[in-house]
Amino acid sequence: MAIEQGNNLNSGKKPLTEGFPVPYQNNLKTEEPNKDRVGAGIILEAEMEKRDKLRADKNESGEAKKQEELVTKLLKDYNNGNYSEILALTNEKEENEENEKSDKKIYKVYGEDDIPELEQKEEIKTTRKKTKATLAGIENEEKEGLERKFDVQKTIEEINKTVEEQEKVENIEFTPEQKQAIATEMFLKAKEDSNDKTIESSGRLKRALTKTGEWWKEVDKKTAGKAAGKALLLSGVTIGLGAILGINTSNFAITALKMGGRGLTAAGLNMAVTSNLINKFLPKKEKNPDEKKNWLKKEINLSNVASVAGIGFSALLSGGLAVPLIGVGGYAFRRILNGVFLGTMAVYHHNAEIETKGKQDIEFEKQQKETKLKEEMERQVKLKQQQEQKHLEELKAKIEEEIKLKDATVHKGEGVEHAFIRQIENNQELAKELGFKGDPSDTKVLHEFAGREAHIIAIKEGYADNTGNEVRVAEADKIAYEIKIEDGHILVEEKTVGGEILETHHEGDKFEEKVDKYESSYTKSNEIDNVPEIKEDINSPVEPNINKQIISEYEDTPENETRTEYEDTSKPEGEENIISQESINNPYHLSEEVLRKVNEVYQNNIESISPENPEVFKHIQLTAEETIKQHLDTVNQTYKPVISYIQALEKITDIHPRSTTIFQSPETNIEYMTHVLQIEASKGILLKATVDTNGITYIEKVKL
Amino acid sequence: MNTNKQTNKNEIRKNIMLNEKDLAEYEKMMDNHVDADILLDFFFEKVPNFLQIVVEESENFRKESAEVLEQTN
Repeated sequence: MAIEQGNNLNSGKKPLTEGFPVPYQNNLKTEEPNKDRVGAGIILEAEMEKRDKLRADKNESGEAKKQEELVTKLLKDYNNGNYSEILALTNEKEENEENEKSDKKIYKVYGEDDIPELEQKEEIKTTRKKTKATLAGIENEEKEGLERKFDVQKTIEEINKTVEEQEKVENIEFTPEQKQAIATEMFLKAKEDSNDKTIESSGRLKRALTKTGEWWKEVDKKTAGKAAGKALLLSGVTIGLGAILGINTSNFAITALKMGGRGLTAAGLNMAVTSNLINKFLPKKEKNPDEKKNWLKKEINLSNVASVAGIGFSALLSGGLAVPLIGVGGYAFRRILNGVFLGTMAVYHHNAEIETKGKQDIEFEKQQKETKLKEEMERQVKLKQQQEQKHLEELKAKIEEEIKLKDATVHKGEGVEHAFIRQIENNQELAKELGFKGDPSDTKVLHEFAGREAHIIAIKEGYADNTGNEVRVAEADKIAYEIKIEDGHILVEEKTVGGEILETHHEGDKFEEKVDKYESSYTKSNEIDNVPEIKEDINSPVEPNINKQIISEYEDTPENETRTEYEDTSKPEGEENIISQESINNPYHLSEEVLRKVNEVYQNNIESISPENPEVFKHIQLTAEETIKQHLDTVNQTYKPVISYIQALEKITDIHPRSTTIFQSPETNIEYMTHVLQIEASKGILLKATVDTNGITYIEKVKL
Repeated sequence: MNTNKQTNKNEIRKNIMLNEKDLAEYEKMMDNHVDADILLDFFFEKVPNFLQIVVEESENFRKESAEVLEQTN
């Protein structure tokens, strides 16, 4: 309508404000005021207000129509300058109203003097209109903003979509923990964005919220010291999440500051909403306001007082919808979310634990079975090994015992001392225990030692005596004489070849006057202290003269006695000659030919020295060592060739007779003669003896 | 039942909207950085069922969080 785009008050030169027929103030101040026009304008304004109200109420009654027609007419009159028509109408109406209602509005009729009052009135009306319009807009904006709903489902869809896309990009499958972490962060971000929009559209509340933020910062300075540390911890979650999502999180400080800032801002709020206070807040029975207030103040400390205050403000301003404005995305709601997160994860963990536990149980049982089986197998293997080891040891012991028995068994043509010698030679430990200190691999030395020890043992154990008596076996290969040492003492066990012990001889036992049934007693025809048993197949060149007795200071002629209880199949007696055991055992491993030549030289020397009485050597009771010390001037002429022979042997070969020790007996003249001849023969030399007219024997070395 | 309860709740929340005078007072407190205690007194005075609102809003967020996490697997 034309009137609403401009009116006569401003003569069409200036636009009307807000389309409202307000007189232009400058015109009012410069032009001549028209009392009728002003009065008509006021009336017109009042009618237009009435019309507008009916329009706003959407009143379609006859009254509204009538009012529309009236305003149209008044505007027409006003624009045509028919002020009096308008004034008349008003006067008529006022009269009617006065008649009808005494409280009806009475419009004042202004004069020129009332212009300032009119101007003020117009300004007030204009301001009121503008304020109304503004408030309506703000209210609408607030309502729109605060009623904005956070779309949970949309957020969930976006989160799931992001997770799927990220899994494809990373070509991995996130763990439930990782998915939940992503969901947590994205949810907070979505919540934060949503609330940013809410704040922006919160109209008059925006300024209050901004100021609240400033207030929070001040509170944080006083109360959030502890929370700052926690916020930094949470920033770690963000960093980890960023790593998963490929977000650049290298700048830890920025991330931490961001999180820390949030945390500081919402620290107090967090403590209030995440603590047990929440549960305490839930009133189980109604309390009066004062009780609640006092109770709350008592329960919470400074920091969460601030938190509750923050929440309270949000609720106060927005009716609850803006509660997260302060805390969301920050520490407080993050902790709430974490609480939910942890609760959710607890289910995952529980299920995972059950599954894991089940697998672990199965695996454990499997391992247990395998372990038991393995242990059983190892036990059986070990047992088998032990049995085999035991068997081997028993077998070894049996073999060793059999070897010992074999060594200890007297064979055909042997005496007990043969068995003793074999045992000492084949058992190094026994040899050492008996005093052998040489090299066991030196068979020559070992054999010499064994021969001497065998004889000593035979005497000590009662198998021989100094009168030439000795024990022999009744049957070859049936009886063994095993040497043993117990507690440092030598003993001899007489056993069957099956190992059965028949008798035990100890040191100091007297020579058996009455031999056992498996033995025979033998007495040499000549009284000498060592009577070597003679090997059956040795061809002795010397015929023993058992009937000849020579009495001198060196001689001792025992009574001959031979007593045989059982049949003796061993070497027949009377075949022994004056060669020593060494020539039989061949300790220097001379060849048969050399050994034969040595024996020939040996016999020839004896015959040269004492052609008429070869047995003279046997009658000398001196040891070789003692013989060498004799002075030829003082000895009997009969024995001078013999004694000088022994002394010549030592002188020419520098081989000394064996001395007497604890473990060995002294060397006899015969032993020494044999000993020296064989040693020299082993060097390729034969020692031939010749006797001069004075009865002194000389030695000549002859090469083999 | 729930609908009625929710409606009542919303009605309560609508009624606690600050008027211009209260909002101005609040902003003045913010500008002066008043202690939280004083602010709390203010809320208790101006907001009916203040504690109930705090608890409800916290629980709402908790439930919302749970819903999101449960459905994002």
